[in-house]
Amino acid sequence: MDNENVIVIQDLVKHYDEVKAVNGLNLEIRKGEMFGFLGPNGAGKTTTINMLCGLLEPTAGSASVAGYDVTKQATKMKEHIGVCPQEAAVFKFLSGRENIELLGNLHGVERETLRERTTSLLEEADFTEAAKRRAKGYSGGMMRQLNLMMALISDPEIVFLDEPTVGMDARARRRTWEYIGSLKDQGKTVILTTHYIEEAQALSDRVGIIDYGELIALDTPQTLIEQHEVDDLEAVFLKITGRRIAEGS
Amino acid sequence: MRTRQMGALVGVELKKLYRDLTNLFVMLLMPVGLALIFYLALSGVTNDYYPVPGMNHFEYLLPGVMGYSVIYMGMMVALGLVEYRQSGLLKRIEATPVTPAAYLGSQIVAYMIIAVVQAFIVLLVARLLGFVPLGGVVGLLLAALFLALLGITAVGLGLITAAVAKDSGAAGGLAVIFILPMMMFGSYLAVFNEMTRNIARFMPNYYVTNSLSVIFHTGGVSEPVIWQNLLILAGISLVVAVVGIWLFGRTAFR
Repeated sequence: MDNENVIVIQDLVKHYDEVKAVNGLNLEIRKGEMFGFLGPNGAGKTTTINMLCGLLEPTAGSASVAGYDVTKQATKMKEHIGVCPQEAAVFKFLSGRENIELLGNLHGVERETLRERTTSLLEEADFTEAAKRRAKGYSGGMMRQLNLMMALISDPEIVFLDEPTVGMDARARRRTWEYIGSLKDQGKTVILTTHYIEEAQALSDRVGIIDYGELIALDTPQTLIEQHEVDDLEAVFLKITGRRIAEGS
Repeated sequence: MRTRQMGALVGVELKKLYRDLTNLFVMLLMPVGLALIFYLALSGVTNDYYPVPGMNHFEYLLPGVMGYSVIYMGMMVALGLVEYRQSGLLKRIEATPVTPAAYLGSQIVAYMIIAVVQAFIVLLVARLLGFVPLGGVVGLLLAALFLALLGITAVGLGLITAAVAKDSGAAGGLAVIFILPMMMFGSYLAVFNEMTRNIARFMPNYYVTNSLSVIFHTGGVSEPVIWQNLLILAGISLVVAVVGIWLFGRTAFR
């Protein structure tokens, strides 16, 4: 494994019949980096993340995560990652705490460590009382919070957050973004997809913008803003993805 | 780590059983209710062609109820898996170090336990209603083995259904296709004539109904037919489970 890069993607391709969801993607993500992965709907973000998490088989190309090939060493690779999927995937008949502990058990976290870590996560999220109740009665925002905690219970080196704050109210979203920011201080590598571009700009060390399955921009938010001579990352995003759409490419 | 993972997943399915009212109804209350209805309606009726003289309809049908309840579980497995897939839970599990084999193995273990418990609750209710099962402890252990094997078949059928069905409506419809003939022929109608018996031989639960009938009605725990049925059922379970795991593993996590 490269000492610096924990994710290495080479010529990654995913085709669904005629649709080229991901088309020759090359990307390296460094250890401890907060990487914002942006793109319009259907650009190929989730497909890429699903391949990196071992959930989808690439049509061609290769990728390694934490030094493990995502197709040949998927089970070993999964010990090093935490995934917060786009949909709030929780067992509704389990309590919040049981959901978190289940994911910890599936990752093989030791019992005592699991108990302590669950308590700590719940306290940080101010979720201790809610976690005693079954998830069935949770609001959409609470489900999203639980979704995120389930991804973090194994204390993964690499965290994939696919639209982690969709459906949260402004207050919960703000608190979640602060928490995601703190993951970087813990030395974690975070790959974040979001439609809240201003927050990606504030949090990300680098951003990659994907469209039609191809990486069309990759740099720090500040450099991209300067390169395109605009005020913020959202303007960069609209400029480069809008132009491609207008050109019909 | 695999044992721990499987233990956690088995625990989830068992919690689902008693926390989800629909599941609880279908898995436990329905078979018990069915036994009670059969008792009230049929315990006073006897028929000469039953294997034991003086046996009433209720006693005759009881092994069928026990087996049928387990087969019905296949539908619940299919509906549960389709729901997990639609809500993203299967993907979430797949993104952990749990292998598909360990996940599906945990489903089989969980439903084997449920199958045996479910059938023995029915038997307990029947005992309270006056039915005296023969065969002693050996008979009960043999019955548990048959029911566990049938549980594997039910999970296998559930996996096949969930692999083919796109949503829960389709899964329910497909499940009825295998449940109905099993209910009719494998549980209740086999005794009528040679034709119904021949049809019944294609139903996995027939081998359970037939064996439980021999065990509980005659006490014949060492009858050759028991071992013959056990072998056939084990073969069916193996084939159905392997096909189910293969099909579901190929399609349903995607």
